[in-house]
Amino acid sequence: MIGRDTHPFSRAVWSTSVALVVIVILGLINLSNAASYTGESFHQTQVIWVVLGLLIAAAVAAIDMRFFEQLSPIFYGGAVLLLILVLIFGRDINFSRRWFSLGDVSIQPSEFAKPAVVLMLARFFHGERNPESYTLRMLLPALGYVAAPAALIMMQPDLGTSLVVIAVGFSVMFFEGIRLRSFLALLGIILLLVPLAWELDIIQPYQKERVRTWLTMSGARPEAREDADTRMQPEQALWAVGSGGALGRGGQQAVQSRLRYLPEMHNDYILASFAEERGFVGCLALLAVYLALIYSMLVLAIRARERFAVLVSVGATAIVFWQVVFNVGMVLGIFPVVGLTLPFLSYGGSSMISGMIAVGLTLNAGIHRGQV
Amino acid sequence: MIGGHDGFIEYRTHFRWAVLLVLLAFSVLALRLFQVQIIDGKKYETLAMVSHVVRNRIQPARGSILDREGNVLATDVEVADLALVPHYVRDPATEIARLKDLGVFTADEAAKVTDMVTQSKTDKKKRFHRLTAKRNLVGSRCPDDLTVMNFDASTGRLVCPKCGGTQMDQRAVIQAHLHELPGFSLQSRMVRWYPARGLTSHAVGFVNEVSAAEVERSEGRLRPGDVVGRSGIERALDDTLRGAPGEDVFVRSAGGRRVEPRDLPEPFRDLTSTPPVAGKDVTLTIDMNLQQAAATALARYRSGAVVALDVDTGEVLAMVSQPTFEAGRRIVPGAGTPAKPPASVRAESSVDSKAYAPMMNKAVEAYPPGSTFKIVTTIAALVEGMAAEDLEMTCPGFYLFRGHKFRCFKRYGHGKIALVDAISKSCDTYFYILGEQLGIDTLAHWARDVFGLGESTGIEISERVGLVPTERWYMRHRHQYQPGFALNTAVGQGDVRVTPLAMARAYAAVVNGGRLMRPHLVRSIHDAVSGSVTSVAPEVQRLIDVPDDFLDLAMRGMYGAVNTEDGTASSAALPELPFAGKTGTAQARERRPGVGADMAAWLQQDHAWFVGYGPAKRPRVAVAAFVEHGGFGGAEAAPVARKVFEAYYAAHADEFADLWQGFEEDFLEVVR
Repeated sequence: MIGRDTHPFSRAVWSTSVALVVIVILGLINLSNAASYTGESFHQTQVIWVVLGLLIAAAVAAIDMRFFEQLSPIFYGGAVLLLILVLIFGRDINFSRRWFSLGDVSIQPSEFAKPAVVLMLARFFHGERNPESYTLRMLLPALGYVAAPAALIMMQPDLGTSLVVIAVGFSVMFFEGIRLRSFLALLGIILLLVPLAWELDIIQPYQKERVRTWLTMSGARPEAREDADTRMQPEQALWAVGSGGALGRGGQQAVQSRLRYLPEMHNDYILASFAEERGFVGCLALLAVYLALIYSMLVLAIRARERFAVLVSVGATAIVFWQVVFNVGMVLGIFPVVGLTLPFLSYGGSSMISGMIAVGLTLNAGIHRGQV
Repeated sequence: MIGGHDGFIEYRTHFRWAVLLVLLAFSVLALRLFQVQIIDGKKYETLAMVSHVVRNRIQPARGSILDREGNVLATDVEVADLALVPHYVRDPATEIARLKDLGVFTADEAAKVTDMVTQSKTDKKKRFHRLTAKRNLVGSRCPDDLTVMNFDASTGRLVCPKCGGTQMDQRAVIQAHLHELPGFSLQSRMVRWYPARGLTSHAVGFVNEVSAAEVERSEGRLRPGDVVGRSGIERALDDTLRGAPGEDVFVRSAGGRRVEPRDLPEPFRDLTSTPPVAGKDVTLTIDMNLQQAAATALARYRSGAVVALDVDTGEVLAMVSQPTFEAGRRIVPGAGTPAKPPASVRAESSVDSKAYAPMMNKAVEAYPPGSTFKIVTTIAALVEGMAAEDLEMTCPGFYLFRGHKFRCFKRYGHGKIALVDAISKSCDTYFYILGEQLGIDTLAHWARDVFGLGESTGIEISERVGLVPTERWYMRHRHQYQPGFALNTAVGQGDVRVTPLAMARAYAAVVNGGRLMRPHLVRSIHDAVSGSVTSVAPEVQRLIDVPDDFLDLAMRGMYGAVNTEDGTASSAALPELPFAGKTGTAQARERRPGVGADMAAWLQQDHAWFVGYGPAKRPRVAVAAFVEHGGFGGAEAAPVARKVFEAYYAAHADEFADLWQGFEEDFLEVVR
């Protein structure tokens, strides 16, 4: 029984670690295949991020959770500051400012805002003498902690990460307990905000175009070549996934990637490339590993000793979960294009390290549960 | 129990909800994966293929058409066009001005192209369409006659060896300056070139692009932009000449790069390109020597035709129709001295050609044959026992039949006249009487069923069938029949219509021992792919069962027509190596509304015919010369035929050496 298991390295710690390592290895193999289509060497750089990420995860897991609790306002404040700075000093890529350039390396502060928000929320709920369920008024500071970075990220603009921050925030709140009435009120406010944002052009024209594309994307052939630019990515991704069929074309045989119909192949659309190579069976296996990772992380969360550790772990799990759901859903055409990485599979240092911090935090909760 | 170790029991319910949410979300993703990859997988794969696979048709080279010596009469040559894509033309004004400075555009053309570019540049779709800025650039070939030009190093210009015109090599100039002309490109295109210009137009025919309706009807065989033969051999042997198109299949990457299917996995790998199969070359029976002689002889007339047949094989040695046209000549001369057309073309253009049906091949068009038909009447009467060598009649200048005066062309009559002389002197009275005795149906039987007049000759190109009327035909089409119609038919008047080709063939049968040959224009077909040559064998369509004596009588009559003093064609005689034949002067008065006085007067005249063979002894070639509304056959048509015989004799002089002496003495003994 789990309850009797007092060894610091419980089975959930092992399963989380194993699932993480499996995903990371799959990611490297997949990225090296993807690199073969373009002749670039993302996978070599990615190895550095993986090693660095694992080290960071181990470090995060090892440090006393109290350190994070006490420093969470500083992490949070730092993250928000970076989000403000990136809007001023960030590098323009594709009409948005999401990146700081430091020589050859780019840093995406919004990735680090996600664990920061989780830490801040956990601290908030930990400090409150928790009622049975929260009313909206009691939640106001928590909503503020979520809204500030979400709004700043939206301004970059980066709708996807912003949505993840909001989803993660809500997940933590839900886990802590929120009154049904309050939830419905919040939902109502958000539903009212969406059309408002649409009308006030807070949602960018290109984002609107993505939504329209998504709404009209039915697997039909693009009518005209002029139309291909906007339609191309989601449509071509779907063709790639479908082309994989049951067993896939095999490694380095993905036609859609070879022909470069997936420009963000190594990044947001890494799953399309994977799905064409590995087919339905491969995709299911990948989803199973993600499921194992997320479930193990949840188990680690529920078994943490302190409220703070529970909430941090839940938030960290939510980061991975929502990011997987949004990304896979986007590639499969369930959602419009939001521009999100697939944790541990997509190329990129910020995304990798942020994901590793999240897993490290849950491992921390699992490892330190025996020590009070 | 989960979380049972300390005070966090409150989270247990929420943990279960969270697990449920995760499972639910992953189930949705898995189901969607199942839908996309398993249920619709094939559909998406097909969509990707259809979208990325490019299938370009490769036009096969159309086969060439050659004369019997192997000289090219029609072939495909490459010409260049200047094309542009408006979107990529960076600075229209400067670039077009540059092309003007280079001598490619005239001021007009520059203005037109400027308009074209500025208009299409703003159009969202049109700006990516390739437009033609200038067709038929001067390249290595003379824009006037497509002859390959020589480069004159001293002037840097091209000189046409045929017409002497000098041209700037626009293609080379543009090629050298393309880097200054973004958006412009050179496009090559195949055009049909007819080096013999108008000389063989009717036999060879011409091609042009298919219409949208034809593309639809062809069920995928033809595509827009394909050319098809419209007349002559180009049309008759269109399938042979066309070949089969190939298909270049490749996969286009997102960047527009070409990716070979063999470098991709299945099912892309299974895509294969097919090379085009070149069309076959067709060698004609046309002898350019005779063709040129016939064309030159006819050139002084407004309208007419000449057919020369090899009497033994049915090969068409010459087929000329006047006036002619020049196919595929839409090349506009560029900057430079205007090219002069060669002499033969100048002669043709002296006729206001439009009015005299230049596109019509009069060699296979049906006309009243006049007295040339009398040979048919002669043979029919001899075999039916109504005439004999010694049958004499008296010609007072007319024949009175049931109160109608049927006039002989000789006003005061031929007097007492026998069969051979009646042919030589073309006595109408004599043949009126034979016609009366034979009756129209017997005449029609001989003309059609024996000599193949009024029926298809079987030549490759399309032809007019002509008409030999019968009593039944009159009842059906005129609703009355009179016995006098037989008299008119006997002398080739009335409603008889015969093509010069059919007439030449019938005469060939008389002089070759009774073999009615299928006339043919195709000598052989050369398949460049397999290297095989298929020769067309002479084909006897029918054997004419007539005693040689009767054929001899007809030939003696025809010999006399040319080679005796009173013969109707005596003025055209070639005493050194005689030819023989029969003249015809067919009444063919026409009235056409809206024509000028000159043409109206022309339409009043008779058709001039001469159909004959040469040499008179051991004939080799049969010639039908027809001058539409030309007048008297002996004066107008016979000299045309004579030119053809002269050309034939000149080319075959050594073969006739034994015929040049003592011809007349032994003529009657050795006709064949």
